[in-house]
Formats: sequence, structure tokens, C-alpha cells
Amino acid sequence: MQLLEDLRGELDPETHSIITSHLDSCAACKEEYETTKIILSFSAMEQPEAPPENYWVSLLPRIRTKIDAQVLPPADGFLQRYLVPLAAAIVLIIISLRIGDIGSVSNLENTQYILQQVPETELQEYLQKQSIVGIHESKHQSRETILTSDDGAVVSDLIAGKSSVAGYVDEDPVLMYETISNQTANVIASIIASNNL
Amino acid sequence: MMEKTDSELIEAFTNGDESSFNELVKRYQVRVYWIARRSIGNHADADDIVQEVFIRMYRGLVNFRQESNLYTWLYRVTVNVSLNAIRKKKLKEFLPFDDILENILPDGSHTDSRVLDSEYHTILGSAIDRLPAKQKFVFNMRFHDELPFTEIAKILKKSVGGTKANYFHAIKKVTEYIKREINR
Repeated sequence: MQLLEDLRGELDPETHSIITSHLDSCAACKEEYETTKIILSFSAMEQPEAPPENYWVSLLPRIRTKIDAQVLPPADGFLQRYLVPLAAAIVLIIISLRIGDIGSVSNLENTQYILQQVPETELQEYLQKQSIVGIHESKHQSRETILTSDDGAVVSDLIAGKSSVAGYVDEDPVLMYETISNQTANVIASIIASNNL
Repeated sequence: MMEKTDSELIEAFTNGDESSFNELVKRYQVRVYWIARRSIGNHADADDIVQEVFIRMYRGLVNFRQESNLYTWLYRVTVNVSLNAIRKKKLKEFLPFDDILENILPDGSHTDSRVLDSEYHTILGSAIDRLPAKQKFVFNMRFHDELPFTEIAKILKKSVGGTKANYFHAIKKVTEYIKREINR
């Protein structure tokens, strides 16, 4: 029911007539209509200040600067052969420990098996981020990592029944948002599901 | 010269044409900005969100399967990045996320209005600001962006029925707040 569009005068006469007739017989829609009318009457007074004039021109260059700063150097053979698998194992174990306890040997084997499904390029990117994250770690007593997939959904929200938990230590923010691909988010979800976390 | 479609720009970008990405940013920057601005309530934070959204777009376009249109996907990313930003601003103690969203303070005010650095001082703005985050998003999507409920449901990955219920609760709360304020 296009009540909002009708109140804004955006509908053709025929559709408007259909809506008007419907409102005569539907109390719920009538209530929504009247409520929306009140809100619309106030919305005329709601004029957030526009961004500065040069904002739109300046936005793309700033985005570009950030993107260029995040471009990774090409990995060499040593990195790919040794450090990346090691980092991958550490990464997923840390992630899993943050979400729940997986201390048993069989769970670690399961984790390593699932680990092989994580894209290597993404693990390289995580290594890069870890070197930056290390600066944060030295400043805080503890940290909680909130993982997000690349469309921004929080990984723990992907797991049915779980809620995100985050907080502060000593008034300093300890949250850090690590971005991983949807594929990796699903890998983590399967780790958690397979470990009944 | 005819404007390229989103699909054409995405394809060009995935084939190495960086200017196509620039074109997409210019095409959607205003819309993404105002989604963020209405969610977080101030320009500075909205700017951070917008940049983050387009950086994610840059990373994500190569994997974008075009099952939904690009705007729907961008809207979802903006909602999620905005939600994350709201969480960061709100959290002062260890609480489950759902409690944070619905938390009412002992004096009866809502955490939204106390913690968020909002610029809205009008009655309507304050009313919207007091909505729980998810209701606020649904309200803004329907009221300001005039998205159909089917689209809103897709973006939020919720049912259409649930989305409509969210919207109905939101407008009721907003109207009740407005009536209370004008009758003071």
C-alpha cells in the first residue's frame, strides 16, 4: 500500500482513488495513513545541513588515497610457502578462541582441514593487518575482534542465536573490525557449528 | 554519449578499468552519504562510513555476482557499516548486542539519544533518533528513500512481514513522541 507516495502526491489519479476507497474500509491502513501524515507534516521542518560545497569533489580522491595505501606488495616464495600457512593456522585458532573454546586435538585437526579452504590472498591480507593490529595490542590489556564479512555483516551475527559482544577496557575502545570475505565468514561459521560453539 | 549501466561499469572495472570504479562512486556517493548521515546523525561520522562503504565496494566488486542490483548491495553494505559505527559509539560496557539496541536508561531516555552525537534537534529528528537502530533503518529506507518493503527486506535479509511490522512500530513510536512533545 503506497500510503507515503499518496500523501506526497506522487501517484496517478486512478491509484489515488483506489487507496482512498481502501482507507474507508481498513482501520489499520487508516491509522498508518494518519500517522504518516503527522510525520510528514513535521518532516518539512527536518532539514539536515548539507555537507560543505567541496565535499563531493573531495570524496573520491580521499577514497582513492585509502585504497592505494591498502594495496599489498606481491608475496614472495618464502612468504607463500611458509609464513602464510603458519599465519593462517594462527589466525583461525585465534578467531576460534575468541568466539569459543576449541582446545581438543580433534577440533584443531578439523580447524586445519577447514583452514585449507580459506583463500590464500585473504590470509596474506590478514597478515598485513596483523602488523597494524599489533600496534593496538600493545596499547590495551585485552581486545575483542569483531569480524565482518565484505558486505559488512558481523560474522557472529551470521551464527544463529549468537549476539555480538564488545566493549571497552579502561575507557579505551578495544573493538577492532577485521574484514574477511563472505567465504571465510562461512568457513568460520562452519567451524563454530562443527564445534557446537 | 549514453551513460554506461552499472553492469557495464562493473565488468569494465573487473577487466582493469579503474575509471569505472570512479564512475560508480560518483553515481552513488550522494545516496550512500544520506543513508549514512540519517543513520549516524552527523556529517563527520557519515563521511567515515561513506569512505568505508566505497572501499568495500572496491574490494567486493570482483566477487559481486549481480544477483541483486548494485544499489541494493551498496545499501546493505552501508546499513551494516553504519550499524557497526553505531555500536562503536554506543558501547561503554559489556552488553549483548540486542540489549544495546533496546537499552532503556533508568531515567527513561534511550541510549541512542545519549550516546550518539546527533545533530537532530527538531522534534521529528529526536523522535527518529530514539528509535532502536533496526527500526530506524527501516523507517529511513521507507520514509526517506521510499524503498518498497520487498526491497527493504532484501537489504536487511529479513522477511517482508517482519519489515512491515518494524516500520509500523517505528511510525507509531515517532508519532507518539511527537504528540508528547507538542502537548508539553
